[in-house]
Amino acid sequence: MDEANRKTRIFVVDDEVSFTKLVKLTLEARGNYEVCVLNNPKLAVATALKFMPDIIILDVVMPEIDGGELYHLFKLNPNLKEIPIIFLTAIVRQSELEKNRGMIGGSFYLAKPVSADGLLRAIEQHLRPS
Amino acid sequence: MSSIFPFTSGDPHGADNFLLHNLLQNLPDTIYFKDRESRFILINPALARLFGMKSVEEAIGKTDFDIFTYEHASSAMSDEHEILRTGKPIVDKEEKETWPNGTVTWVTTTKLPLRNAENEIVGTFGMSRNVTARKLAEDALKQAVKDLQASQEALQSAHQQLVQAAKMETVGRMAAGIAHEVQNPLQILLISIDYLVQRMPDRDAELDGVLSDMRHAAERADTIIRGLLDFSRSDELTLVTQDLNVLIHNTLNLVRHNLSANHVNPVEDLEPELPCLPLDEMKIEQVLVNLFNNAIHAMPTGGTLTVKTRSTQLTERPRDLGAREVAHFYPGDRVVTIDIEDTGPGISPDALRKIFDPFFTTKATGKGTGLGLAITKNIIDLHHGEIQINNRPEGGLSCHLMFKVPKSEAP
Repeated sequence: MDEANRKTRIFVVDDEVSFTKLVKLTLEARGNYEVCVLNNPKLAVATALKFMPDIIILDVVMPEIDGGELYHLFKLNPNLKEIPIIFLTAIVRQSELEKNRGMIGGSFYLAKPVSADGLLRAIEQHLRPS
Repeated sequence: MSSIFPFTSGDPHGADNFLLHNLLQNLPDTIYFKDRESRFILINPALARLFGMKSVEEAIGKTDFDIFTYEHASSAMSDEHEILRTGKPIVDKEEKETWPNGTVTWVTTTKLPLRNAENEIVGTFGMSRNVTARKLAEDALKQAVKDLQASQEALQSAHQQLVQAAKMETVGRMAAGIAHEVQNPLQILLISIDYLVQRMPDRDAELDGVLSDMRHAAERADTIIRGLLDFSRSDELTLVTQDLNVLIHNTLNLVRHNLSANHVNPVEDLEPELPCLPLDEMKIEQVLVNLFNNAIHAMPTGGTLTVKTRSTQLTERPRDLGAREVAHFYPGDRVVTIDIEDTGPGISPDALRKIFDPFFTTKATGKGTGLGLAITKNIIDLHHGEIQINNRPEGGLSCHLMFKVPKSEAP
């Protein structure tokens, strides 16, 4: 595929099947996005290495491996460490995030529930300048 | 004297005198007779004993001023003058007798006009019964009842506080769990609605309305969950010295849209040079937004929202609605008060009692979570402040907030 027309690759790791399905449907219908979703966090690093996303959307509370652990696994991998990561979770409040411009401990967070527009705004804002 | 008391100078063995003599000698109640100048002309042995006199004759010619304190003697003499003037008796009057050595006794006294054979009033006479023991028992009983009432109130208040604390703890514990479990399905709902909107660009007005209702319902549920989260996490404060006037002014700006949409006129009556207070800015802003919005909602057809700030020094311990003394505040404390007043209809006394209970709301379903004032109270308590809500005599509700000024900030 022509590099200029390459779709932005978004990798969503969340154990909520319905959510990931709808995110994929909604975002891909919105624009030039290719969305890969994963409900089993144990396969996240392997899937990411295969998909090579431009941005990762990460749930925090997941069975077996939580979002925090996954974050470190991504950052430890030389091929993945530069990819921006957004945490999307119900454990933070929007009001907490607004105080800190979405940052908690150096990471960017979105509070669930977020609208498709809100999610896309955050994605566009955090994509690495290509 | 003999003309007044024929039986004392006449034959003591006459039938009538014999009876009267026995009565006077043996009755445990005290009996006295006085002339028009309130001088004793006769007392019975019981009264002589009470006066500490060896014989009844010792009292003759003396007045109450020789025996009691000036205050008591004046009062007794004034009663006797009234009887001499009007001829009307005083029946069963409870009197406090203060003796020169400071002893206090209580008696019930009946005083009557003393008349001679021509029916002229020539003095007074009376009879008293010592009721000190009964009076002391009554006083002790009254005090015991008062103490009992006070301890009952304290118990009731402690019980209410315990129930409240248990409720708060339960709500707090539930909140974090519920929040996570409910926010995820809400996320699915919201993104589904976005998806449907996107898939149906040519939808008609009816479908558009349904989708809009769905979105509002999801957002409403989100608001409730956020309220629960605020509630569960409202126990940590980040205190920074603040100018409350500035905070109030800025917060009124935040609700400016609500004010104008409801035709509510804001009035700022802020005391200049208000002492600064250590406050959690975000949380106090949350408190003010809650209180301002409640006031605005209470005036759907418009009105006036007045915010007053004052600094003052307490002269006594403030009391809450149940007349109990408020914790943390003492006479001499310098305090800053905020009064937020609306011109709405006020609320019923029953609702007032429950106003800070979690999940209690007077708003229609979907209009309030019933957590706003519970959170507000929690935040004020964390600041060791006081919040009281009352109906104003002139109508509407008044919310009174009080914060202690730290010693270093006081002038």
